Amino acid sequence: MLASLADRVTALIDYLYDLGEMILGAFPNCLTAIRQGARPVFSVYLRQVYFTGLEAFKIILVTALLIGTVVITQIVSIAGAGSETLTGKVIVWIVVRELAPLLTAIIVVARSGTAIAAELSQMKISGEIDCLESLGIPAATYLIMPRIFGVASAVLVLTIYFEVAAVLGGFLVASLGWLVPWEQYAQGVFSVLTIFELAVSLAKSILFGLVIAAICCRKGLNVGKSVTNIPQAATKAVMQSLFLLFLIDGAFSLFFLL
Amino acid sequence: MEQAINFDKVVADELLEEVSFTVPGGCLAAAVTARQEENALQVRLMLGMAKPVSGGITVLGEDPCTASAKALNALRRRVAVVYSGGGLISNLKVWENLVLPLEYYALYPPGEIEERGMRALQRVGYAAGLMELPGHLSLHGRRQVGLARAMLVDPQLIIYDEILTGLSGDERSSIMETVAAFHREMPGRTSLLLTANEESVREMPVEIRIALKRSSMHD
Repeated sequence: MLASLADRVTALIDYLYDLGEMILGAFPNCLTAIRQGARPVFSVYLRQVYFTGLEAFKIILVTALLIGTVVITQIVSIAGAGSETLTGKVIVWIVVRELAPLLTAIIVVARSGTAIAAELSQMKISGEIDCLESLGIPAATYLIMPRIFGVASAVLVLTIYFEVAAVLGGFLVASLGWLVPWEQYAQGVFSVLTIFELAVSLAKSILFGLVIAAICCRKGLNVGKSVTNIPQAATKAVMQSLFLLFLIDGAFSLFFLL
Repeated sequence: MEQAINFDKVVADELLEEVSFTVPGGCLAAAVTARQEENALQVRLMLGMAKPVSGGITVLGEDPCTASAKALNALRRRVAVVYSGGGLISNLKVWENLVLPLEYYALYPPGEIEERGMRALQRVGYAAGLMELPGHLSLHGRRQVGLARAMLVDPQLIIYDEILTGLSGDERSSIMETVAAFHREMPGRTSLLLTANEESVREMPVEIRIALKRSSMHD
């Protein structure tokens, strides 16, 4: 039993090492692409930002408004009227620190993670990746690197949108439902919203983006030879992404608690 | 004349057993294999995307099995492959597929890439839209674009993987003419047609015919 557990831990460490290598390898590949002209690579990056960022904007906005509303309603129902400052503080603690990066990343996994894994699997099975390699265009530079940075930038920007929408949406509900004035709500928000708080939240979102893209690319490229392996690769990519997101989020929370 | 391709007792996968052949540099050759999968495997072996179990391979003086990643990339840029399905990237439009290698390596300024791209498409007789996705093209259309893309990189060695099967008589003649004209265009250029269908290259004015059928394990 102990040996089996040790094997699993070793496998997890190997897996994390592979992902780290893939993410770190994207940086020199980025320089290579810039040196070589970069136009087609930049176009893949922009497409990724468009599909992951711009197309997810509406769903992020609606989710953020609803989350803001739910959090405010819960706080007011627990703390009662006259808790305006607390309301602002709690929304920062809950939304900015935890929910915004995590929920944005989960939405991106569901929307774009599956798409990346399925697209790369299909390209691999139909021989398109071999065709690229035969043109002297490495998959790591043309397919993986722009996707990794595209998803990371999209998650970062979407997280900012999420935070703004949840904080403002929360205020809208609080002001309409419980006549909370902006000054008191803002006082609560800005008393705890420090640069450090924002930096941690955004660092978390970038890390989530890098990890999601790396996992989904890895799963897509390691697909088997049959078309029936495509949905399996997509499912595994989603499950592994979610698992690692929660693991990283837990590690972040623990680190800042200590 | 130097050897462009040399396979020396190559054993790979379950498809190839002790395959030996040589294609001299500068010639237009056709190799007839036992089945289409063999062609794909041979292309992968020549470009270092698959390793043989045993035997030696030399392509344009480079050993793809032992070459470093950089050397392999340099070799791939000297070799062009026209795949039977065109070898186009499904989520890129025809024009993006066509100019991809030129843009990726920024070989020419954008204006010149456009000019060269249009000229190559005219040369292969491509008549469909530039903004079409490969999935909407006929097999002939996909092969025309694949051929135009290969011509654009001006390769020293060009490998055609089963590009004459599945076409009508006119389409086949047009492709054969383009292949022969492109081969003559640069002295020293080597062209190799891989096919499992001997009939398809019968009318092709090749200088060397290589029969690889007997060497296959499953014959």
